[in-house]
Amino acid sequence: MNKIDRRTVLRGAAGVALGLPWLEAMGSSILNGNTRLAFLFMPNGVNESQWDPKGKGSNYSLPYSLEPLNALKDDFNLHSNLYHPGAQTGDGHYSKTANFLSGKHVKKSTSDLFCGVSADQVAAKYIGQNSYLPSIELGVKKTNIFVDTNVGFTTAYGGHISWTSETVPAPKEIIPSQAFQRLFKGAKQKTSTAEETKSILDYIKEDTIRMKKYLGREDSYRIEQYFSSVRSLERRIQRAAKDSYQLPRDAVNPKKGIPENYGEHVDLMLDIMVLAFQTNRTKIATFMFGNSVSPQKFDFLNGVEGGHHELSHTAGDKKKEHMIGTITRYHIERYARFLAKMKAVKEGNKTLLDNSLVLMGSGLKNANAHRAINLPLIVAGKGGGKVKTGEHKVHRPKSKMNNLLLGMMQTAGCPLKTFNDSDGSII
Amino acid sequence: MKIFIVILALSTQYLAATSFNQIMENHCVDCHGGSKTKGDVNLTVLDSKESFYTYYDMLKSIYSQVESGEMPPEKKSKMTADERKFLVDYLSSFFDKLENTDSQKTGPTRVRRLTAYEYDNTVKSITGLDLHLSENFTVDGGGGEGFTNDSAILGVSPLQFEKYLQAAEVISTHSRFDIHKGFSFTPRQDLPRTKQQSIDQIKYDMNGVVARIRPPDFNYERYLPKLMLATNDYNLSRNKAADLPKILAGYKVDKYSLKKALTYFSSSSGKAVIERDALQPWFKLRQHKYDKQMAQELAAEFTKVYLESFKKVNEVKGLKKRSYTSFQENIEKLFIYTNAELALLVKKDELERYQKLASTKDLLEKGMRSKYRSTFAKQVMPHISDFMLKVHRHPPDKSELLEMTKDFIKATGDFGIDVAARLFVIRTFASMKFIFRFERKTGKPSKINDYELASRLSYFIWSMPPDAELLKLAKEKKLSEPKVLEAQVKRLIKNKKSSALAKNFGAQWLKYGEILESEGPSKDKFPEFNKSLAKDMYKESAICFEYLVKADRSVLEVIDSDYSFMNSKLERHYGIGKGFSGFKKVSLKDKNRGGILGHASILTLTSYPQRTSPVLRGNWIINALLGTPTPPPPANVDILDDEETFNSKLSLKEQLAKHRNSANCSSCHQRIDPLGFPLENYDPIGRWREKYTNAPIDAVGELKTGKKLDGPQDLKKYLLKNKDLFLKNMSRKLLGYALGRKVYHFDYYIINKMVDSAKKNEYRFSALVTEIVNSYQFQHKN
Repeated sequence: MNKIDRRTVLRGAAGVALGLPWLEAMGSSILNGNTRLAFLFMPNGVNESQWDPKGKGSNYSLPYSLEPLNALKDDFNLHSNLYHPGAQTGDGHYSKTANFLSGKHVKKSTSDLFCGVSADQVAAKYIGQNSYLPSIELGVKKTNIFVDTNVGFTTAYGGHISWTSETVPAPKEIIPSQAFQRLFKGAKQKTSTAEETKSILDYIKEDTIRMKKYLGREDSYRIEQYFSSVRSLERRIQRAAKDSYQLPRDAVNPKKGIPENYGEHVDLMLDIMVLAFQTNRTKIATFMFGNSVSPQKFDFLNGVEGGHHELSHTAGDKKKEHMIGTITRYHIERYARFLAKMKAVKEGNKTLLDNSLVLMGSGLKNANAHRAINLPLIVAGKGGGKVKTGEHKVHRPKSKMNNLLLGMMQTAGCPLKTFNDSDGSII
Repeated sequence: MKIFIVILALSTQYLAATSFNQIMENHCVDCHGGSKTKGDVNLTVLDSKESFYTYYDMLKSIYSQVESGEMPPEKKSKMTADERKFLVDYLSSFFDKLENTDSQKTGPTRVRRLTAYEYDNTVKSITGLDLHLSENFTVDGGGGEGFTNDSAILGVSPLQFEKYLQAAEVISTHSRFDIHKGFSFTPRQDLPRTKQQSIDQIKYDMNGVVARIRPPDFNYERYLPKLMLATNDYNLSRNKAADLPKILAGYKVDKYSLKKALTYFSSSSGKAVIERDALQPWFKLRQHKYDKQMAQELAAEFTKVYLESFKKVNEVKGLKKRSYTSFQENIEKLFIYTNAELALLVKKDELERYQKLASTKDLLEKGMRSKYRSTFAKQVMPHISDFMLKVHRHPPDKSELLEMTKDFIKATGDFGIDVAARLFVIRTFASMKFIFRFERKTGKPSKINDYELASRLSYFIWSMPPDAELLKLAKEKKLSEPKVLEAQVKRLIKNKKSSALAKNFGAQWLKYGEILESEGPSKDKFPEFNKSLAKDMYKESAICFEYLVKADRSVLEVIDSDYSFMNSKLERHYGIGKGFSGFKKVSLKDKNRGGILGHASILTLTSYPQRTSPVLRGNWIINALLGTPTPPPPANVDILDDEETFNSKLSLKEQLAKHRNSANCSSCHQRIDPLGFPLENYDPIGRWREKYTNAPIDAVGELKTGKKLDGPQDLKKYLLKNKDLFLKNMSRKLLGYALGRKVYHFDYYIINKMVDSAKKNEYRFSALVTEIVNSYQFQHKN
């Protein structure tokens, strides 16, 4: 286990008395502050009347869909009136999913992907580089492969909120055991020694460079992608030698395969995220409760019948609206469970949740009209003590969601002044 | 708002262009330009000649909407009949001209990553093993014309790279390398041997070679120790005469040998140099001599065994080094023959085999000295080259091959031959050249080479790498000869591997593959539906398509046919018989079932969990079969309520009619709904029904022209009458699939040729494929 020298402790601790056991396990990640960022996305919007609370500031009560958060009311802020101006054009759900974390316009195309780099990936570049994995991207549903020819967007848009570049999504891991292994089972090849693994990566780099001489200009970005993927694994292997971590004794150890039960699957992936944060294997994570236009059936919930997307086009039907509100409530329940887990992890005299910022929301408010203003957004956690929580923050109507994303990134230590179309910073 | 439209080359009539411009400005730009871009249509992008190509699809949609009178909406703008006719004629002549010009453009020919399906298939065809490695991969989504093989979306992220590397590692654990036979794969997974283990193995193999040229009665490994043990027993025996037969039988040695050995051991007191005559029993070995290296090997082994045997009998312990050496030398002499003599005795391939082993052993034992290296290189290079051809579907360049061989030799020195081979396997499978479908670019449009043609062909029809026959033709540069190519297309289609077209192309184009991933209908209302029924539904559609491809049937059988493939479960589901347990071709007497519109897969997919949806079904027909999609619906529309539908006093049809009458919706629904209604007799899981719970079924769709379509048979007749649309759409989809990209304006030339060719060839599937394979696009890279 790595020792932390005293200077580091002092710098990182800055006025906070840190408990030793936690410190010992922390490795070097304290160097750049230790705020974790998580971004959770749910598809198909919410039922406004069961989401928007009455009252603001600390004086508000949680409506039906948010009730599961009651016990954690002091640990988050509910944000109203935020939106992405860039997500207002373009039909349907896709154009409000791929840009959930960038606010950039999503190019309508079935072939040439183009939208913005997402906040998590920007943050990963600034503050993720010091962790074993700069970021992790998790989900529970495979990206749909069947193109909706009506809408004219590739389903790749609907399956990714994380974008490493304007044209390249960061695919999400949906298999719990795979996500777990990647985080905790080391980066080197299973049956090769470290030296052999190094040779392999050297070979692959050589071969990739050799490709350049054969490929056209339109392919060069593929080579760069490939090359940087190899580099990122190399980097991890180097880090693996330095970074130590200790899994808590009661940590999950997921079995192979995917749990059949949707809720179990969600909880398991989120548990893995808690572990990743807790052990400092990464500081940045995204999670998708479903892909854009998710047809997930929630008929295990009382009174809910039909597929999620289909229901979300309620056409003003009260019963359907309530079903959507109930589905959202179910998502919020999972979120609350996740937050509670983070809160149960002690880090010095704080909790993991205190040292995090966890965004939960949707790129649509009301899916029926594909309305994407006043987005449903919650940010839990105190960002290491920098954020006061427990409020319903009602911003000026049509304030930019990128201001919030910027605020989150800044709080976590990203030296950014603006983010895409931001015109301020809120947190 | 001004739009600027230039159509120089296309229209020599400047006047026509300005009129077009004028009409658009007067009637369209208010809603579709600049500040307002209703339906995501912005006409101001049409600002140059090039833009007419770029926005070709948009122009087509404008054309169809202006022609049908949907646009401009009556309330907003009064377009005169003359103006409308002018626009329609103008655009239609533009399309005609464009689509009938062979512009010889490739479109983007980006490197294309293997899809998950292609990956598994490719690994299987190389290794012979079903490893299902793609199970752990991430899913990319679909793109282009609606297929997973679209080059633009098939990238690689760090996560995916790690998964490819992991997969390559798994593959390598199944690999074997043999200096004689090269690379092979086995279902077993083994850890690689260490360097020492490799050396031991090689020695063992070398002895194996020796064993094959040794007299059959001689086995020094067994005979000599036995003889020595026998000698010992004999010496210790008190009653030698009586014990002799027992000793001889017990050790299976002969009396003569024992006698000689006794003489030898007594004269040398067990520790002297072996004399030649003491080894008389083996002296006949001299009939077969061995080369020096072999003799040394053999002698060393011989000595080892000899000494071990001595230890066991506790006879000789302090054999001095000098004696030991001369002992070994003596034995060596027994075996030595000149190479020339040896060549007479040993088969040529055996000798080569022995030499290969020897050079590998030298390399391993004595390091990277150049003299071993060059022999070794000569031996491994052909294996490396073969393997790379197999894995990368293209022979390596000379420089590349030298580089690979150099690395292989170095790794052999560093880690031993097994590990070197494994690293090489991982390297080839984690290479972009394997993971991507890679073509050598020259910087300008050029014809693909025969190997590249082989790959394009086999991945198009088989979703698999080229087989030996294709590779052979590629090597001989014969594949691109038109006659050879045509024969190969036919062969590939007939081969059972062409079922990949049903699993990928058909499943994604017609979307029946989606039933496997579908959430399915409401469990309460349709308890009959489960994963296994869904699989059967999928199979019916997939096998029908597979049959159509393989038997080279008319593609119009997608719309209507007098057969299908069902198992007993499906036949019962449809209520048309009891059938067999497995899938069999079934002749259909029921005219309502033939063709994909009677498949439960599609009928289920186009229903809501609680009820059927004429809109979803009509929309599917428009998109999948006719290829005349409507614009996406505005979001905030009254979508019919599930529960209310059946309680309402209005019938489903009446409700839809109401919806259709709203100005917002009418233009599209007039096209969609009439195609969905004739399928109302199929319930949400595709069973035939005569009535709703408490109302009769009205399966009549009324087209805008006033024509009525009553039931599926009318609908099928209507679709067959419009077969040109179907053929064009199918051609477009197949071309997009074959090229792994979306279709551009210049591709319509080929699409039209495909339609013509289909008509001339009884609509056979192979006609479409042949046109694609012969096209400029398919045979060129950029």
